[in-house]
Amino acid sequence: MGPLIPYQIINGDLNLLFAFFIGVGFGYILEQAGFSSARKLAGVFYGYDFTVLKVFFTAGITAALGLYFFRYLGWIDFSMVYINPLYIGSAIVGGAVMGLGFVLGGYCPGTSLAAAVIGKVDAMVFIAGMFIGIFLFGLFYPVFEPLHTSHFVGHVFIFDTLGMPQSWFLFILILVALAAFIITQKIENSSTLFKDLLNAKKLDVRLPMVFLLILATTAILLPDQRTSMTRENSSKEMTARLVEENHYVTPLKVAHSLVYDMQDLHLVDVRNSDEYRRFHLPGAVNLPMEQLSNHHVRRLLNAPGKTIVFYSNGSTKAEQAWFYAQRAGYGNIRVLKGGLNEFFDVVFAGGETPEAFDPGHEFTERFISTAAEFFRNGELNRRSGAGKTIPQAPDLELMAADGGC
Amino acid sequence: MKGKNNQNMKDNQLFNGSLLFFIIITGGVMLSLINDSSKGFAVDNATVLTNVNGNGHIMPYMEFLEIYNPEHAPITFVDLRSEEQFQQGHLHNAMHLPMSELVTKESLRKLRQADAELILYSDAQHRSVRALMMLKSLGLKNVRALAGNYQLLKEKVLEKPDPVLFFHHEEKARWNYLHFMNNAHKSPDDGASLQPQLVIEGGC
Repeated sequence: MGPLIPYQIINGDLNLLFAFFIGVGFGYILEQAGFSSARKLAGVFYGYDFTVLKVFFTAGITAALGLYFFRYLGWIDFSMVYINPLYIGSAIVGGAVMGLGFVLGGYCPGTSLAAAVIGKVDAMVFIAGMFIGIFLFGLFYPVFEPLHTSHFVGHVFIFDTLGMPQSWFLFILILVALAAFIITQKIENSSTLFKDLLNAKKLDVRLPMVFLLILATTAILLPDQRTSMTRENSSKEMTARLVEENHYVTPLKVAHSLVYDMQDLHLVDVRNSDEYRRFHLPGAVNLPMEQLSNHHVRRLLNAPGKTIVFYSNGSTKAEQAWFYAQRAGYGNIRVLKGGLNEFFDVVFAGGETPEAFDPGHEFTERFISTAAEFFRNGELNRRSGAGKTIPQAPDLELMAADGGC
Repeated sequence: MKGKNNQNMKDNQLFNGSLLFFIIITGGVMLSLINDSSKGFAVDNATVLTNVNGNGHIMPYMEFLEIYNPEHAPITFVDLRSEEQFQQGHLHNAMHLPMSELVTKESLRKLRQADAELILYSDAQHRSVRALMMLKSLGLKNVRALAGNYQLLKEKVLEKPDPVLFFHHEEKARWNYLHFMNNAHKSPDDGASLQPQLVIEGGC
C-alpha cells in the first residue's frame, strides 16, 4: 500500500487487509462490467462486443492521466511507483500464450475468479488449468529461463523509447482511445454475431470524452513540470540548516562502524566512478554528485530509518551533495567531516582526535590503533572489493507492488 | 422501464465519475499555477547542482594572488566568520557577513548591489561551500568561494607563500589511499614508519 507503508505511516502487516478490500472492489468492478460472462469477454476477439477493450483502455488512460497530473502537482512521489521491467522475448511469447488461452477459455485470470465465485463451472476449470500451467512453468523453469530473462530492456516508458515528451504521448494515446471507442461502437452496431448479447447499452459518452480531451490538451499546454516540489525544503528551512552543523559524522565514528561491522551507516561515495574504482571505503556505494537528481536515485536516498553518509576526498563535494539532498527533502543524510583525507589523517597519521568521539583519550588511542591495524591487514581491501554502483543495487529497492491482471 | 432507469443510472455514474475526476485535476492544476512553489528559492535545485559541478566555483590560491591587487577588476571578498575572528584579521576591504546573517534581506541586498564578483571565505572550507550553495540557490550568479580557509590563506599564501598550496583544492586526494593500504602491512614495523604519499599537484 505505497507510499503509506514504505514511509511507515501505516503498519506493513495491514498490507493483506488492504489487498482484501482492493480485491473486493476489483471483483465488483469486473462483475458489474459483465466480465463474469465468457461470451462477453471473448467478444473482443470475435468482434461483436468490445466492452473489454473499452473498460481496459478507459482504465489505462484514466490512470495515465491521473498519474501524469498527480506527479505534476506533486501529489505523488513518482520514484515510489513501480515500473514493470520489460523483457521483450518473454513479453511477446507470454502475451501470445495468454491471448490464446483467453480466446480458448473465454476468461483471463482476474475474470475467471470473478466468474468462479458465482458458480460458473467453466471458470473453475479455467482456474484449475491456470494452476496446472503455473505448476508446469515452475517445474520446467530451467527450460524457460533463457527466454524468460532474455532481452531485458529496463524499466522503460513508451514515450522515452519513442523519443517524445510524455505529455504528447498522453495526448495521442487519448486520441487513439477515443477513436477506438467510436470505431468499435460502429463495429458492434453492424455486427450480426450473437446479436442477442447486445443489450441496449448506448451510454452518452460525449461529455466524458470531452473531459478527457480537455485534460489531455491541458497536459500538453502546461508549463514545464518541475520535479515534485512538495518534499523540498523552503529557503527558510535551509537557512536554519546553514548555521547548524549537526549533519557531520566524524572519521572515527565511521571507522568504528566499519571495524565492528555495525551496519548502521550507509556510505555513499559522491566522487566520480574513476576515483571510486581506485579506492573506496568498504561497503560504500558510488553515486557521482551529478547523478543525484536522477529519478531512480530517489529510492536510494529515500530510506526511512537509515543513516546515509556522503563522503568525498575532502568535504566540498560531499557538502554540495548534502545541500542538494537536504534541499530536496531527504532528511537523514550526513557528511563525513573532512572526507577521506581526514579519515586517513585520523586513522593512520595520528591526526587530532575530534572531541565528539572521545569517551576517554586512552580508549580512543587504543581504538585508533585497532582500526589502523584492521584496515592495514587487508580487511579494507577485502571488503572494498565488492563495490556497487547505482542503479543496480537490488537490495535497496523498496517494497513495490507487482503488476498483474 | 426498468432498463431505461438502469441506463440513466449508468449514464449518471459515468458522467459523475468523469466530472469528479475532471474537477479534481483542473482544480489542482489551477491551484498549482497560482501558488508559488519555488519555496523561496530563485533557482531550481537540479540547476544549482549542475552549475556547481566541476570545480570552477572554488578559487585556487594561484588565481587569488593574481586578483588580489587594487588594479584588478572589482571583487568583493565576503568574510563569513564571526565578529571576533573578523576583528583579529581579515582580507583588505572584505565585507563582513557572519553565516547566521547571510540570508537576511539586508545582506542579500548588499550582496546583490555589490557590482562585482563575490568571493566567499571563512574559517573552514565546508562553511564557505555551504554558503556558496545557498547563495547560488537564491539566484546570485557572480559568486565563488575561496579554496581552503582563512588561516591557510594568511599563513601559507600571504605571509610565507608555499607554492605547494597554490593549486590546493580540498577535494584532491591528499593520500594515495590504495598504495598505502596495499603496502602498509608489508613494512617490517607494521607500517608505523610508512609515510602516506602526499599527492602533490601543480606546476611551475
